[in-house]
Amino acid sequence: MLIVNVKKISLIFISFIFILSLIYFYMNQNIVVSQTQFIMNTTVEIKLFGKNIDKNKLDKTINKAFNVMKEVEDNSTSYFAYEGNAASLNAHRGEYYRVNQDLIDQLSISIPFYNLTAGEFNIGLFRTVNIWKNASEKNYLPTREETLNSIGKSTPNDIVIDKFNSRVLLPPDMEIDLGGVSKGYSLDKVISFLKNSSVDTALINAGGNIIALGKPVERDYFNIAVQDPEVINKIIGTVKLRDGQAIATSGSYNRYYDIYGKKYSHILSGITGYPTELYKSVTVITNKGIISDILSTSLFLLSIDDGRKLIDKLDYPVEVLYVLNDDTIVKSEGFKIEYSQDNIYKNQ
Amino acid sequence: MNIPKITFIKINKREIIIIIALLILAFASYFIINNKGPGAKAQIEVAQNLYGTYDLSKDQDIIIKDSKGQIIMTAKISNGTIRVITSTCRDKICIKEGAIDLSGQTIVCLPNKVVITVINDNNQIDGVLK
Repeated sequence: MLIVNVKKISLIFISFIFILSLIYFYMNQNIVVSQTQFIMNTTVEIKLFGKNIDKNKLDKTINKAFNVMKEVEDNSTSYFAYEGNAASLNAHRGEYYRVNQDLIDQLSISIPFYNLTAGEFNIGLFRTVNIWKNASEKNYLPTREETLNSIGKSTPNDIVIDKFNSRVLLPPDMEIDLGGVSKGYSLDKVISFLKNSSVDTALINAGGNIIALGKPVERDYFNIAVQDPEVINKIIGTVKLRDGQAIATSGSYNRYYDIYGKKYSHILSGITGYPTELYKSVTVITNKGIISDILSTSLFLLSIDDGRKLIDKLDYPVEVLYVLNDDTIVKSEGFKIEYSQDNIYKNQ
Repeated sequence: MNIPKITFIKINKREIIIIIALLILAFASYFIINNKGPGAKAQIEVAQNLYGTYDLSKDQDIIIKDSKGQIIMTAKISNGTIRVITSTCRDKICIKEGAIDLSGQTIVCLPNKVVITVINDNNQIDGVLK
């Protein structure tokens, strides 16, 4: 009797260990939870990396992360008025108006770039943007006088921010458009939300802006392909994006106004209100989403020399890659890129 | 004192088989679950256009056609390697190259404008910046 029991017990014991180890391996399996939504006029993909055991939590977190982004979009849009957002502030220009915290934060960070870029990066271009939108719909070319007049005499320096009471005073002749700011800003907000939700590893891809949190299991970095500015589905090369880094591209290739069949870049000079055609694309790597967004736009509008001076003034680590109109690539020394074999660009 | 110990491990054949089967199952499931998927892939380009990407872990024959739809080459994937088995080119250098399986290795057929490259899945692209 006793012998039989011992055998039975050992069998049960082994089966038990077997099942436990099965469960253990299953739970510890590495998984990626990924979702794509259309936010801020672009396709946004959020990827969360974790263990199978956390799958339900990751599924919930990813939905909340998209909500964080949508909230930033609503708080920052100039096209739909919500209480305390940019469109409402534009409507209440000339008076103190109570705005949401996202708007205060974005204004505080982006206004100094007006002086830093000698006026090229200007958030007060809502009317100018509308002139170009309207012109491309009706197929006429706005005159330089028209765009210049739409900018008005006031500059972003004239915006008064009352942080204590969360109020902003917008000059009466200015309407703001945070198009070159809020996408990058929303990435920072999503990353801090993910950190608070104890997500260690994530990659957020919002078209021209990507930000990384942590690293994938098999590597110390994320492999990011930089798209060729001329040919869709071709890439210039790949870049290693590490924990905390944000990468952003500004180019005339993906967003433009089509007038008489000619493409006009959506990136407008803050001085003239006209598109500039200095480069095919400018790609920036730094450690903050909002800075990557502002800088890719700013550097797109500045000469390489002025761009270098701007970078030197900043406290952020910045690496930059330009694709010039003659297909030459000019980049900072620290911008490490592995060129794809068939890329046509001349590396300088 | 030794006698009870001997009786203790006296297990009959059927039980030994069950225990061994369980152990094998445990090991097998470990490898199945922890398998991160096949590592290497073969990427085939025809006239600088991507023709297709194929798992090196899946044995198969790949018929490669040019832009006019003419069959120009057959590649064979077996045992985690890829090689060219037929080609319409004259000197058949691509066939003589033999089998490749390491990341970065290539077979090039200049007359047919075919490039076969082994790429490591561990180095896959995580995102495209547009």
